[in-house]
Amino acid sequence: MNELRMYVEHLFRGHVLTDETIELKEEIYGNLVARYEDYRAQGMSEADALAKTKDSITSVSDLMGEDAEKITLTPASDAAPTTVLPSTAASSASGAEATSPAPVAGGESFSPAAPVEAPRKKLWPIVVGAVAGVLVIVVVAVLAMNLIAGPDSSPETTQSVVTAQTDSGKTTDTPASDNGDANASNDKADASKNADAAQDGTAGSASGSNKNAASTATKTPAPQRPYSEIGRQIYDLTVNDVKQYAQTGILGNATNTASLFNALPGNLLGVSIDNVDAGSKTIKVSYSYQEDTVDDDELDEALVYNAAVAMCATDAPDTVQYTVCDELKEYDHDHSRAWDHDVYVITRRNLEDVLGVKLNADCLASQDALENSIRNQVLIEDLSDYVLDRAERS
Amino acid sequence: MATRDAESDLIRGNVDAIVLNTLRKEDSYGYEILKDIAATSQGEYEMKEPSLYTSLKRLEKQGNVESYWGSESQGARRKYYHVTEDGTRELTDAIDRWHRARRIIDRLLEQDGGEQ
Repeated sequence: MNELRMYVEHLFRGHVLTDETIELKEEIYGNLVARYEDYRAQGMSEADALAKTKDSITSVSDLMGEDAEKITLTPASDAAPTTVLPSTAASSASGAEATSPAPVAGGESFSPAAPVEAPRKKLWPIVVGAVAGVLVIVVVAVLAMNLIAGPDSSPETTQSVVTAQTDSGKTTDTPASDNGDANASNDKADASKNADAAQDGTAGSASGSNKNAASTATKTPAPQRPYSEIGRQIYDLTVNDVKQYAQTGILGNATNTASLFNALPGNLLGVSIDNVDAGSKTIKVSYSYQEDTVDDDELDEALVYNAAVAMCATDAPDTVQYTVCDELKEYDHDHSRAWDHDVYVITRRNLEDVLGVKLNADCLASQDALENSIRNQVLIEDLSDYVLDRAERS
Repeated sequence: MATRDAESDLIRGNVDAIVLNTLRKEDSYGYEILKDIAATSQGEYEMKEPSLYTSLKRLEKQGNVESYWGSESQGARRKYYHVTEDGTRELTDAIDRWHRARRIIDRLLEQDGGEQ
């Protein structure tokens, strides 16, 4: 039946999914399944039944109404619940994201009480970028004035640089005081040094620092390799371990979803895929283990990490729901219950907010991308805690 | 094939009424409605799936049918449709309209020597 699900996904690919069209998709799927089963009941072969079923509807364009435009770009703010992200659109959207301040907005919505540093750090490269940008202008101005006025006017030139520096200081102040990040003032100091260098005529160093700011825009410092077993699995996981499953797609292929989760950290526990629902773009995954055999914190990290990786896959879920069953020890068995259940619902929106990245194929494009966009952040203490606190359902 | 398409064109104006009439007997879902229509026409008319969705959407918007999800415990979910009171009235009207139109066309075509 997976093939029909994939076929329906294919029919809707590239169409904006509203609540209405999500229902339509579900309805069409239900009817195709009924048709297929009917053909089979009449004795048709699987292949013929599938082919004939697919023939019954070959396009949904006529059903989508006037507002059925092809997606060109998905705004980060409402990407999660109602839009489908075909891989091509996703990558073009993320291309646009790279220069937009979306990650900053994500960082701001992050609760100030949470002791997590990663998302806030997203601000400093932008600060550096702003400072560097101002410096480039200063340098150009300095060079131009030197050209126009010649060496005699050097006192005046110095004057103008000082003024410009003060201005750049002001630019830095606003975001720096907003997030209270010590990094910002450090960078301001660095930037001043660069300004001095630039004043000496080494214009290259200013543009160099600008470039540097861009390349570190999604970087969190690499953490130590953890000691715990699951922590190490997270640390050691390579893009190649998961790429084939991620590229094959998730929602249209439950078998593949299971393969992916079996390749992800925590696979030594009991892991099973309970449900893959393309309509609501949700997958439900269970982990089970014997009480006290797993450290809660590392399991939390694995849950967050795995959800993030799954959301980067082709045909990815917007919601990953976990049921974590922890089998109680014998003495508890006799008295009350055998299992302890926790349910967590992690949404794409919340996770992208916290990680400050757009979860899509780009995050799995290289080992560096995986580590910088997901791994290093997940391994920061408290981040997973924070995500799961928000995700916990009683 | 061409004959069939031409016939389909003639039937098309009555698709909504046909769907309503099918649902009058009992609530039903997409594929079952199509099967029912094929059976009632004794295999002479087969409604296409996209036409059915368009029709149901229109009927729902007009308040002539209501939909609800079936309670299948396993497998794919099915969306069922139920005719409202408005829908029942609309069906009666549509049948009247068709009778009048048929009378008119019969007359016109007979004047032209068409067979009856």
